Amino acid sequence: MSCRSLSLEETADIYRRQLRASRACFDAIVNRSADGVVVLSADGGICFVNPAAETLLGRPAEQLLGEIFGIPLVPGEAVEIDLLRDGSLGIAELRVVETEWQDRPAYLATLRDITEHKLAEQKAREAVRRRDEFLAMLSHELRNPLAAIVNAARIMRRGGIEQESFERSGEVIERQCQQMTRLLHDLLEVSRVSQGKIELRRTVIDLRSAVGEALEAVTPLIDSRSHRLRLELATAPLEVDGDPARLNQVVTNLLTNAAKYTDSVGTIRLTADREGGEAVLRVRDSGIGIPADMLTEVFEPFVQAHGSLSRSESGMGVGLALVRTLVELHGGTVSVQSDGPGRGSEFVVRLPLASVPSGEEPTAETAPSPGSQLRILVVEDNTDAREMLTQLLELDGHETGAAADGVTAVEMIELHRPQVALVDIGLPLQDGYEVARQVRANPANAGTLLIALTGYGQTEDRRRALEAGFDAHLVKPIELDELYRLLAECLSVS
Amino acid sequence: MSRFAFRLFVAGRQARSQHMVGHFREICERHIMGHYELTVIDVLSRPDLAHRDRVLATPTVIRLSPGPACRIIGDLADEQALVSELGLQPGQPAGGSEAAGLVENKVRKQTGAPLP
Repeated sequence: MSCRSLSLEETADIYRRQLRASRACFDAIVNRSADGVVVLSADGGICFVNPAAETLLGRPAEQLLGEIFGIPLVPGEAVEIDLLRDGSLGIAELRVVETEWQDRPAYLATLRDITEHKLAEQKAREAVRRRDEFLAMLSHELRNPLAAIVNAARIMRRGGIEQESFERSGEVIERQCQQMTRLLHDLLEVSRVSQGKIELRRTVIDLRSAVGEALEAVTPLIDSRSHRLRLELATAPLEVDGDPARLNQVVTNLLTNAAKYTDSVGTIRLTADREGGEAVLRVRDSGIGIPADMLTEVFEPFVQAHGSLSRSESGMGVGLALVRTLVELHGGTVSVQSDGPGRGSEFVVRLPLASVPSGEEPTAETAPSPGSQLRILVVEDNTDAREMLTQLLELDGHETGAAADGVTAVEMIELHRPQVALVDIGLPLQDGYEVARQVRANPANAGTLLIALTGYGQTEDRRRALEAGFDAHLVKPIELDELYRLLAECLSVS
Repeated sequence: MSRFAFRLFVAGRQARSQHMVGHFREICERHIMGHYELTVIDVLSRPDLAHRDRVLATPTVIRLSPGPACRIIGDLADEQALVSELGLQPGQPAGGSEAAGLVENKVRKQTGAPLP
């Protein structure tokens, strides 16, 4: 084996190759690192920055080299620093180790961008705060009607009270329960909205009719606060492709909002007109207005521009969130303007006009009537709810029966063949779906109309009920008007 | 003239910045009471001042005097490191309580809000 010493040229070549490899390695690791790498001299001057650091500091290396970044005090520990970039502030985690750079003591600093992370954290904190505020609001909103209901019930239990005060107490209970039902309804709506579960049942409707219906609902509130309402509606139909119930909700919420946040004897102006290819609805009030920094936030769920519990009409901050979601589902937009606190606000809804004009006017809903006397079975495990509903039906002249569990329910339907069975879903022994399946398994029961009663109004629940064999589905607490309307429809069909 | 003069750059007036300022002031009071001037600058309300001093990140402390100028970046929690890096040893007293009043004025002027 022969051996010879390397020439100078060969040695240099080896070193060059090693140097290239070393540079490539450096490039692969440091220059491609997602974290910013900065080498600092002992007095805090910048000796080296990698591309990630250039991005983080918002400046190219030529501008950074030689600048004084500063002496980092705590080698080893991660600290949070704010990076000053042109226009924006970034947040970075800074870690430092002691090292050497060109034979001198130096610091090796790594910067990790945690701006997004911090913003997410801030958002999460904000969400928690909002939730807490919401819970406080909710308990406030529920306690008020509950207090009224409890006291009304106490009055009714006292012997020897006048018929008039007895009736008044009954009215109070009814009204307050309706209030709580609305509240729960809104809550469920918000939950559905946040899960994207709202479905529109679209048809071509005149926006003016949605306004008319909403006015009916809101007039008592407007009157109770002695507001003046000015109405300016287009003379021609404003046809949009929309869900009538949802558009009604949009207008109702906007009017309710205006009435609530305007001190007594204020002015509310509602206009609905055509502007280009859009139907534009404006609700303007002379109310307490909205601070500039809240203008974009008022459409977020659980946000109150004036989050104070003292205001007796305070809501839960869900109305406008619903408005926005519903309007956007319709392909429209909603915006708000206010000249600031005390100077009123104006909400503007823009909806695309329907391209195909509808042939006929939307049919007016027929007024519900109790109809003829029916045999109705009430299946409900909550004793109070069962008794109250049967009593009410009896007062309207119907013949009623009652069952408290799923097995008895099927037996009674087989035995008595009622014309209608109102069946709760959550029942002991077997649930309402099972009741429906068993009843429908026997063709002899075909004459019995099965109506499911549930606490949830989700589309999914409706679908399950229909699949199990129910003819219809009602959300508790049921409104008798709604029940009779449904009965009228179902019975006239059959 | 005080023996020590500092500029402390913070971002915003949130609790974190306020805490940083309070903490730095405490350390100064403990080690060089009556011998320092502190100017607090909120880089969000005075970006021009941050630009003038070429501040890249906050919190940053610049020791203007005694020279040579020196600059600290990052967490100021480590008192000992801070004391040794900034050389917080009282020398000859100069300025005294009069200087302290001047400092407060300066703070108000620069940040637009009085700090505790």
